[in-house]
Amino acid sequence: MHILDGVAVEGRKFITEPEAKRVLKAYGIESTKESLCQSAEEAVAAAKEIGYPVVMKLVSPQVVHKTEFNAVKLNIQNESEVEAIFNEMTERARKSNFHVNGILVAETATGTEFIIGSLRDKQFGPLVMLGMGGIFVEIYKDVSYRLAPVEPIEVRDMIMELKGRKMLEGFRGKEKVDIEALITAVVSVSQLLADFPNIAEMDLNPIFGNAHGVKVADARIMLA
Amino acid sequence: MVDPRIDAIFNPRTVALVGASGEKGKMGYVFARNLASGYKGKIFMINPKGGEILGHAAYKSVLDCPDDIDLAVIVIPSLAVLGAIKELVAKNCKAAVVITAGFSEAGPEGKKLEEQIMVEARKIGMKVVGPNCFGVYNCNIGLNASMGIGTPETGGDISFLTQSGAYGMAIFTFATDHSMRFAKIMAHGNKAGIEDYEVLKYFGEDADTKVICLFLESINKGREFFDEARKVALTKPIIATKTGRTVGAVRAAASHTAAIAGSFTAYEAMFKQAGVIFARNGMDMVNIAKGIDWQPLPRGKRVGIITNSGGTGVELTDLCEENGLVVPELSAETQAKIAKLIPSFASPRNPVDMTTIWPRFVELYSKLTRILYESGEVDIVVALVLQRAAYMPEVCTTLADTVNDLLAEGRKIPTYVCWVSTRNALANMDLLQKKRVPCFDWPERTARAVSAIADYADFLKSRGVDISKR
Repeated sequence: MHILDGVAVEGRKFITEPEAKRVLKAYGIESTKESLCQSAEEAVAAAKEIGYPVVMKLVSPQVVHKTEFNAVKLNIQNESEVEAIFNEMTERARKSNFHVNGILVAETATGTEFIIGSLRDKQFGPLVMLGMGGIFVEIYKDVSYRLAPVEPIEVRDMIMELKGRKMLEGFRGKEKVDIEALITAVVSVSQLLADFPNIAEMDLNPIFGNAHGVKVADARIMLA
Repeated sequence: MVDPRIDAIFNPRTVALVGASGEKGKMGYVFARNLASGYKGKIFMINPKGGEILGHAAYKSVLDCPDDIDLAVIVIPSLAVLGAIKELVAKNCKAAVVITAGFSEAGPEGKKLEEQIMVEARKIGMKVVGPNCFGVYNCNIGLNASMGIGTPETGGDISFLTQSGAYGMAIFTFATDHSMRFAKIMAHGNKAGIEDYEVLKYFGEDADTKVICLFLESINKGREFFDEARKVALTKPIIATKTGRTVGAVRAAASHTAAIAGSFTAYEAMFKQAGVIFARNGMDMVNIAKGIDWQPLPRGKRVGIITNSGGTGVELTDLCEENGLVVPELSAETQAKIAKLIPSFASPRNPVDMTTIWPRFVELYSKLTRILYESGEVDIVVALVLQRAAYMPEVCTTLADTVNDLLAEGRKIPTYVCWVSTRNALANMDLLQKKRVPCFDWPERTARAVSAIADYADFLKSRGVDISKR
């Protein structure tokens, strides 16, 4: 995989979000529609193409935890907001002397939030994690692990372990989740982890699942 | 085909005891006596003084033995072990059990010595069990090459691998106290020369082994273990206890058998994925093994409870359901059948509570068990034998006979007893357990064991395994 090799050659450990999403795409894992923009004009055009409301994110190899740098803005409704946010984010990053790869303008995904992650164990090698996203993972640690790679039936067991699994069936009027698509995504991620022992950490968070499939809204990969 | 080098440990034609002694109180005597008491193969006592030990000729060196050596058991001081291993290598010995402590568990000097031993052993592919271990048993041929006391009973089909020696033996004796019988036991201590997965593979292929128990502080070669476990678990139940799950325990383990406990998250995931039954502690492991060894696997998770105490029945129901089992209300038809037998103030609903009408206990435990079996409404029967019922040997005997009659009729429903009584009724527990009706102490342990067994059966079904004959 060129992307992972390229990153390694540059001596980087952290893979930027658009790079991570390209890696995922190679494994058939879909991400939200998005465009990396270099100017406010490009950002406005991209937002129009994708459709409002959009999400905007700063892409910089120095910004690993985007929320801590306030580098993610949600629910952006119109052109003037896009322009203002583009300028504010780039300005703030430059003041911190961060290299700016661009500003990502992305589709606002909807549905139930999930997280797919990884763990590398000394004895057992790579493990894939599936969890309910948002507060479920942060507060309740509603997650399940298996050794990678996994088979579809094993992902079904993982889903059965999640306390929040009722959310998948369309709890209280919420849209149902395409479970087969979720299973395929976990299987594919686990294969990626098994294929690349140099992936030390991976976080696909959040992933949005709805009746039409699952889409990765944010991705983070760290190399060993 | 089983690995012949591991088979040499359990089925040796000849055994040499390096450090044998005729002097009571010495470790070399304990081993000499244990070996001489049941094992029918050739025994070579090795002692620098020569002579005779417990009726067997003693040789000054293994090199003097008039026959090949399949298995050497080493009980000499740690600094002398390397020399003995070198001689065994020269003798082309197949396997050695090193009981002696003072190796990698004791610090860097010991670790170096352990490595030197392994360098020698690998020259001829000699298998090394230990060092720092309790020894091995093959109960079905009377082989006791361990510190444990006495010759175990034959006819067992549970095999047990334990990293901890003394606790492993405590688990073993507790289990035999509960009428359980074992096939093969290995305590592998520092496990310098034998991997967990190799023993697991051997047990998986061993015709004498039907149930596998593992008491582990760590697992080396995790992936190999996982690959082996997921194969074996489909045909033979594997019940594993993994200690060192918490920070405090990891610290204790590190200084204990030189084990570095991995992240328990990974262990837990691996057990689930492979279909290994995880037992939280040694006693749960024994209970689960007993339940699986003696009774058929449950077809589902519906539990029918028969009790002579309302309160205990309700507690057991709570604990069963909290552990993922279901205690369904019986159909009107079945309730009507039961109501005809029990007093008007008793409950036929499930738990079926016969109340304290002790003069009719013998009849009711038996008849109610049969009604539950024949109802088709439950997959598991738990008979709560409490206090006065436990004091009545005829209740235990009749219940055991009923269960065995029902099983002989081809009904694949397991019965387990939840035993609640005082010490002076324990002899009656044997009446059930000698006839392979497992007794678990009190509702909590009962619910944990039964749910673990039901979960395993569920796993097998989900993986397309036919359990109709199991």
